[in-house]
Amino acid sequence: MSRPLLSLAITVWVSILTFPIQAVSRQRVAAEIAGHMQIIKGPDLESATDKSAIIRWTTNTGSTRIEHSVVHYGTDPKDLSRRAESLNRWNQNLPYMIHRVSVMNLTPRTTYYFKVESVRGDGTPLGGSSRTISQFTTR
Amino acid sequence: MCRTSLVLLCVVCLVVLGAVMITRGVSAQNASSSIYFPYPTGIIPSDLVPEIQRVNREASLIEAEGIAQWNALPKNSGTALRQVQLLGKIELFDKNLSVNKNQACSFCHMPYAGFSGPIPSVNLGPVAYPGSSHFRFGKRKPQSYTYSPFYPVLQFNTAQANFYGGNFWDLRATGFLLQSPDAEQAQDPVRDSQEMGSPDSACIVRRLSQSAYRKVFETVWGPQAFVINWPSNVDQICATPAGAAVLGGNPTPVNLTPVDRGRSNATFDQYALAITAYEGSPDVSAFSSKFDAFLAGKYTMTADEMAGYNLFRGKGNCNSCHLDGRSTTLTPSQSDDGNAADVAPKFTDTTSANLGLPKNPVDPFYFETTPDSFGFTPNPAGFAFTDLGVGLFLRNLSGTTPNSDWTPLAPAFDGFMQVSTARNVDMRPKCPNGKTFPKAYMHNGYLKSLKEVVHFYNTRDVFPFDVTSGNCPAGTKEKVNCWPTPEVPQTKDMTIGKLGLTPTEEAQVVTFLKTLTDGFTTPYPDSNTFTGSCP
Repeated sequence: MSRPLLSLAITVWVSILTFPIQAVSRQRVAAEIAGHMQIIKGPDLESATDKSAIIRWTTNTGSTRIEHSVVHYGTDPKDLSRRAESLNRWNQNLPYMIHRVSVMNLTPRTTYYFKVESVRGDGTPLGGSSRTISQFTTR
Repeated sequence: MCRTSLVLLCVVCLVVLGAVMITRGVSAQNASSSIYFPYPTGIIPSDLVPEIQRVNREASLIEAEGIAQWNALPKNSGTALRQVQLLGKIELFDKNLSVNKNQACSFCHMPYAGFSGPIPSVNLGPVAYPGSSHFRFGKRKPQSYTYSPFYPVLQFNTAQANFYGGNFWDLRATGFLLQSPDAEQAQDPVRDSQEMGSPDSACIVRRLSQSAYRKVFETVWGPQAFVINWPSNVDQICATPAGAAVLGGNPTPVNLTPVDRGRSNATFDQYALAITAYEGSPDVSAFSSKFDAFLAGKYTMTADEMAGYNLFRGKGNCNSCHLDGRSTTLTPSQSDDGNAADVAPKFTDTTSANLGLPKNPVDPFYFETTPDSFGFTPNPAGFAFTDLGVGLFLRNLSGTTPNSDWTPLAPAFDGFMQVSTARNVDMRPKCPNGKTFPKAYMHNGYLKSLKEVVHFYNTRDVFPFDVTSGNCPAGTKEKVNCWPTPEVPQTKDMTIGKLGLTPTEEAQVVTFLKTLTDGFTTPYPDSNTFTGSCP
């Protein structure tokens, strides 16, 4: 086999063999970021109008300066495909972080089911996710 | 020709000449006395004209002081930094850099108000300031120069999906060319139709070349600065306000050769760099507050100041945007060791945020829906104009974004405005009658005191009402227990809105904010130049 072809083959094999490791590394980084943050209070309904709501919860820490706090919700607990997201900034002096999300364009007198989580601006999951489904009702 | 004919000819010539002069004089008088005033009663303060004259007198005195400082300065390589700073100062207080030679940059940014708005009645009412063309108005509160050079070149952080840096409320002074957002900011108001109103950057260079301090400029930047062949109509063009129909939308109506245009552009950049040198100097960005003395161990805070500081970096969560330099990551077993990580904290993280402020309906910009005498209509949309802030800039609706990759990000940044420094929020002059000089806060000046600011952060989501300003329901009081609906609700930052502070705690935060006023460790230059009165 010629030298360039041999180099190419080695490169290809090394990439194939190490790709799962690289993918696992990325997952591991994301998991590591996600693993630190846990919900310690809530999520609860902070307030509701007929068409909007504010959901609030507390985690034991933040993990990035500008967090995107996310509410996945829907009127059917099996379908939480609607999404509301708000920015919350992490005060690193405090041993907790409060997350608040404004959910808009809702229907009056309707019960919504939801779960929460935190993500980084680029979508990387940060953890602090709900373990169970919660609910609230608009006025 | 016989004598009678000669006399007759002279008389005819004089009559014709006189007629031409009178006609021109009347035309000029008509143009200058055709005041643009599309505002209903009560929007524009009745003391505006004498107040404009007052501020212009104050600015002229400071300009003269700058020139005197220059004259007294030995000129050598060891004073080169001070030279460029003083040039910047002289430029900022020069009213001849406006189209009608009646408004310096500092007209809207006077030192005694933290280099922000100097007219009490304007701060309490329209918030935006009148421009060189009377009476076009700007649309936003004049920002403070102090610490503005410390914002970095605008960049997008992909991990956080957020912008850092840039100047102006909407970050449109990116700094991408001069590598200084603050310098690029200085190039805008001089050409803004609502502000100093020159129709062409070359006009600022022309006025600098005609100035009393031309030699100062040439000493700092070199004798080539004004080597430009000006067209014969340059002064006529430069006396025409930006946006005038006769200019036909041409951003460079002064006809220069490509090389002269290049020279003019370079000189315009140098004008801007001198300004940022001054604004970054200890004359403006002093780091001389009580808080700076506290960080140096030379000031002991009072109990209320310390309580306010603990709230600022604790429950109030103010330091998550207004960085106090104490960003120590705490684990449960760790405690704050009290040492500042940053001995010169800027009290801003240089990002932007949508605070969910309501529209301010007395902004004069909303009423500028008809053409002025130059055929220019500042705001055809009227009240339909929504200030999307950074979103406007990203869509090229306010300035031009130098990176088209950013434009699709606009909806996520609608309503975002620059995170101002918290430093000098309480810098205001002493009033002769002992009252408090009023300042306006936020991009639209909706909030009129630090107490209102803190109360808004604390209770925006506790007292929300789906009304516009001025229409709070009976039984409520706007800004106390009624906050009108946000101008841009969908992207409002939820870090604030329900902080859980008691009224005492709100007052303590305000007390702490007052420790951020420069002029404690050393006197703040020109802070005693206010000659007006307070309501």
